[in-house]
Amino acid sequence: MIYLKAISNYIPSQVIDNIENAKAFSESESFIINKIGARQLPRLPYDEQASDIGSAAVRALCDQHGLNFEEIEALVVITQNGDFGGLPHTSAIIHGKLGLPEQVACFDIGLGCSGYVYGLSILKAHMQEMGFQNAVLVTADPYSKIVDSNDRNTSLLFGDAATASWLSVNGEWEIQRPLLATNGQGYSALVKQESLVMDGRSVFNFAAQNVPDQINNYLEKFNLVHDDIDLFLLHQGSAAIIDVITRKLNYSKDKFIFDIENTGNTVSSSIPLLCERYIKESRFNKIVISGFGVGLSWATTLLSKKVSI
Amino acid sequence: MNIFENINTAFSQANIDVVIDSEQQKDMTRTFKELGLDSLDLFNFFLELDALTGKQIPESEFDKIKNISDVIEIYK
Repeated sequence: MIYLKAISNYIPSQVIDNIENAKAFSESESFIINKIGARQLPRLPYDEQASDIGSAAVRALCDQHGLNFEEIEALVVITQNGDFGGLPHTSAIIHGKLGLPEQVACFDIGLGCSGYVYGLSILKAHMQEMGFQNAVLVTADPYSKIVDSNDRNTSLLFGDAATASWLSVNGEWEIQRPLLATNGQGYSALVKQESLVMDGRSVFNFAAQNVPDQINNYLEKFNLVHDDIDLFLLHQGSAAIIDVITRKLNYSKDKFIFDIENTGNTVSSSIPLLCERYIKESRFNKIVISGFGVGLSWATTLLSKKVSI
Repeated sequence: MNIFENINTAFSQANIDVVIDSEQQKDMTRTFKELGLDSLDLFNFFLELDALTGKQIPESEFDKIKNISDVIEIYK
């Protein structure tokens, strides 16, 4: 069995004041707080890359949770904005920056906001195939590299952050089989051209129309009801998107966490940033996580605490 | 439901505190901004209205809709 054992993060200290930022677009503080949800957006220093924040997250994981570099057998990075446009793979660059042993499998996964759910499943399967005991899943997708600061649709939304998750044969949280989905006909809703181009309405409608159904289907498929679930940790797209998904699901609102006040939408890091906080709490045993976005891609799975005999 | 009922139901389902009086001409011509709606409110409103009417307006038409009168014209 492969468990999610621990998570650590790295959030750049340099931030943009999003309230000030919004004035350039004649948007009110109320809009920023109530509809976006982010007062500040962390920003990678100009001369840093995905590998820098990814490395920092892995170092934090090892320092905070006692994982030795020599124990890491695979390092996987979820990013679509890797160093050098993704060639070489950012996981290899992080491998080099950390000085990891040669016998470490490194590869990147080119996914965005659904990436963490996909990534847990892929790395778990890889570990089981290879007989690995310890591996690290990194999310490091700095959208500041591709967002046009003059674009109202995107410059008020995204923040930079990285996380590192320790997957191990020892741990508490079982990673269950996910539901994975794609709508490639909707790809144009989020595209990187000269900069990121986002059709906000299409992304909003996609999330509202697909994510509640997938969560409901997940519960039904695995013989669960929403009362069985302690928390629903959704990709933190924006306050408006979390609101509409919560409304459509019509479960107890207490079970839905929303917190991007100091981070903004951190793409594939948004779910592990929340998980890091909540998997430490002994009162939670079943957490549904659901990521959705660029692709269009969406994925849902359950983290469930191992039952002690 | 008629279009006004659909519009008001859509506002209600989207948790938007706006009610349109079909007898009041000013309700028809005030812009969405004047009604206090921001871009995300409009996403929510049209999500609900599309579901109620079974009609999704194409992106090319969306930006042309500035007020309730435009909504009635497109969804009738």
